[in-house]
Amino acid sequence: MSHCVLLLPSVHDVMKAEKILLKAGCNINVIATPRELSHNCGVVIRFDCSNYNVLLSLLGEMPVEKKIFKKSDENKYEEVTQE
Amino acid sequence: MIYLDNAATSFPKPATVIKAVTECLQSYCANPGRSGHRLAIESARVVFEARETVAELFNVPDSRNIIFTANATMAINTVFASLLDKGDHVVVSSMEHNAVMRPLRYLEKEGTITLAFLQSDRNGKIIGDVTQALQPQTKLVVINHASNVNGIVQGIASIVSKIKAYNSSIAVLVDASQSAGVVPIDVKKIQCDFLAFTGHKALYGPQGIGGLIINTAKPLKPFIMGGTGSKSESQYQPEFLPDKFESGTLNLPGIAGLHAGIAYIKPRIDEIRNKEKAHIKKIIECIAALKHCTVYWGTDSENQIGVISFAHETLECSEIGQRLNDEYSICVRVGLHCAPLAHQTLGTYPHGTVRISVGAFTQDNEIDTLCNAIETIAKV
Repeated sequence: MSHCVLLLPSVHDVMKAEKILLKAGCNINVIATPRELSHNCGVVIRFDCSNYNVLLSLLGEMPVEKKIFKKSDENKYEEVTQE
Repeated sequence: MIYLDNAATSFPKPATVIKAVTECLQSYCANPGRSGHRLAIESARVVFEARETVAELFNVPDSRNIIFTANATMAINTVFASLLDKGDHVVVSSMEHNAVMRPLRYLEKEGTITLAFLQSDRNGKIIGDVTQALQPQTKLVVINHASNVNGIVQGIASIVSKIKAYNSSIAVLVDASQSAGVVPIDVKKIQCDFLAFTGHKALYGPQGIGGLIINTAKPLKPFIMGGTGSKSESQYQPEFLPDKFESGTLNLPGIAGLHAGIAYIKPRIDEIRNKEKAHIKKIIECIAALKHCTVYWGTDSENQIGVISFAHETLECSEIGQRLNDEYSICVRVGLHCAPLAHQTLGTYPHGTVRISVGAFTQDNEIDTLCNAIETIAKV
């Protein structure tokens, strides 16, 4: 199962997103930002990539920049372009 | 012991506040937002939930606009440092605390700003046309919502509305140090640009926590800069809220306590207000009946918090305070209450007053004891 991570500007935004997603029943975790992505805040939201659209829809109201990265088979993170 | 110095800081604190602070220190007090381990994440959740609760209390749509500070003084200083530039004109009410006056007098003395005052009556109530004090260079108006000397509450919604109608680009800062928690405050409705509050008075949190509400899109300079846990690769301060104004480790036990304090007062806000009103009415009646005493209050019980002052014709306020303490174990505050401007307005400068401030835990029989004590002491 491939996993994705959602990067948001601040810890506050991550906490808000976590609350929204957990309330909606999503299976997510807050984890330390992977080192290769550590140009943002200290924590990110990890989720199953198959929930990509659901997650973006639930967080649609949050007026902040959202970046999503998918962990590849080579153990590297690649940015997923939002449509 | 009878504690009637709640305007300085509320005491005692609700058991739930003590529990929240203790639980924080015992169970999860890591550094919120600085690490990815479970305790740091739990700490960040507590900060987030507290921020949401503060936003709800003051009707602020986006909790990112709640900035946690050490106290109201720091919140007020943040506004001055962020907003004011050389040549700006600032208008203040005549009841301001030194948390407002000292930084503004400093800026005035160094030639950065010029200062003017809103007109008020002898009780400190803002009167007349507030726009008369405004100039084309006026950038900020500061209004003390409720006085820490005589407890008068200003009608801020109407004042802000007049200022904004005159010139919408003038920013308004409301100092809600004494009013937050006892007077309903709707920032969205008031339309002030900034509101400073402290956590340790009528919000019943511990000392060392307060906040600033930013309700403006005006460009603001950061005040205290440093680590935020975000954008760590950058040597420049983040531009987004709340991080822009929250550098350095937050006071997590204080934030947890503030959250619990708000949770305590929220369902009781009317009950506390009515109880305080009744206590203040009784105190005013008993002191006003005494021959040599003058009571200082707002003269309208609807626009009054649980704070009044009084002075005696011949007895020094310090002597009265000392006797209340030594002979009756009653704690009040005497002097100028860090508000010389307010005392000048009330005509009680430089001698000051004896200030009595009730709180959520003040009992009826304590007011009876106070009244009897003052009656005895005031006989000369």
